[in-house]
Amino acid sequence: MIAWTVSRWLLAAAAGDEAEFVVGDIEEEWSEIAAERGKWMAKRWLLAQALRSAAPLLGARVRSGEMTGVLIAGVLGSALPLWLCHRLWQFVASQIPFKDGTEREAWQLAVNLMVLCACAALAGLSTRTRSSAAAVAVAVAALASSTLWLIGAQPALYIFLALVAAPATVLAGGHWRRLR
Amino acid sequence: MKWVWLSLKALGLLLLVIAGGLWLAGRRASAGHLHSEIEVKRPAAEVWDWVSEPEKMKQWVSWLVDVRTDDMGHGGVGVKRVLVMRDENNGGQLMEIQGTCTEYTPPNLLRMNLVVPGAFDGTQAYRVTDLGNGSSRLEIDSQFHFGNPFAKLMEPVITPSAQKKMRRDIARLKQLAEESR
Repeated sequence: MIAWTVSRWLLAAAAGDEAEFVVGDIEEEWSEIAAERGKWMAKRWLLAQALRSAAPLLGARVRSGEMTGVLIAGVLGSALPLWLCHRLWQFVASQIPFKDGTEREAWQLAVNLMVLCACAALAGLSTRTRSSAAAVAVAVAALASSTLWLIGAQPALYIFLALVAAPATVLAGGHWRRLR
Repeated sequence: MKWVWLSLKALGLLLLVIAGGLWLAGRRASAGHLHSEIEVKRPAAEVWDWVSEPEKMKQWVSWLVDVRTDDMGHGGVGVKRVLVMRDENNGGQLMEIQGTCTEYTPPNLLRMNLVVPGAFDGTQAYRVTDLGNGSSRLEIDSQFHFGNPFAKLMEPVITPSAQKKMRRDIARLKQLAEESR
């Protein structure tokens, strides 16, 4: 279980091209240590490796410019559609001759979720590897939560669905593209 | 990038279809028309006060913060009224609706022309019908035309929202009028 979790973590932290190599090397070394010094020592070594290599791997991704792409995909996949939907419903309520409050109807929130999922799926389609899809999913979830916080009071169920559906759709979009 | 472009084209097509649907829906006969009615267990003269007196209007029309009038307390055709609305969806800005009375038959009919330059113009009629036994029926009938091109396109969404708001307001009027026995 620990080996699997650590390899997923390293896959997510490393850049797309080198992720498989990094995980392959570490798994090879893990098997050798497990055979020579026992599983307990191998697990300790693996955890230490994961903690030691996470920051340099993430740093390399930032330097490679990949994080800029992830950030752009996150903005286009969640923050922008949520904000535009919010502005659209504000406009509609503002155009009511005798005005209305800031509460939104269920169908308007459902439209927001559909637009969010469509844009998140597009962001997922722009990814080529599992690790970049995971990074975009994290960015989409983080930017969606920041945008929802900026927008203000919303029903808890809507927030929960947005924060679950958006990253899930990114992963689904990325997975579908890899299958094709 | 091929998939992204294909999806963007599909999204653009979907937006065009939605815009086309809104445009077609905006051409229906009842576009911009609002109607709401309610039975109030109070005599017509009392219900009339709730629709004609500025201080009472402020109690049941949500987001109405002030009513300025030039009639010195007396209604009549040609009397001007400014309804000041707070727009919570526009940073809480105040918006003034310029109203002019075009029909005034107390305690049964009040019709106003309403204008917000650049936003909308229209009419709103309040009809109070005495039903006997101390009850009356209040009908509010409105017709609005939007000036902003995007608002015109969004009319099929705006009008049902306005209708729901009107129903909530008129229910509040009923509650207040019946509690004021």
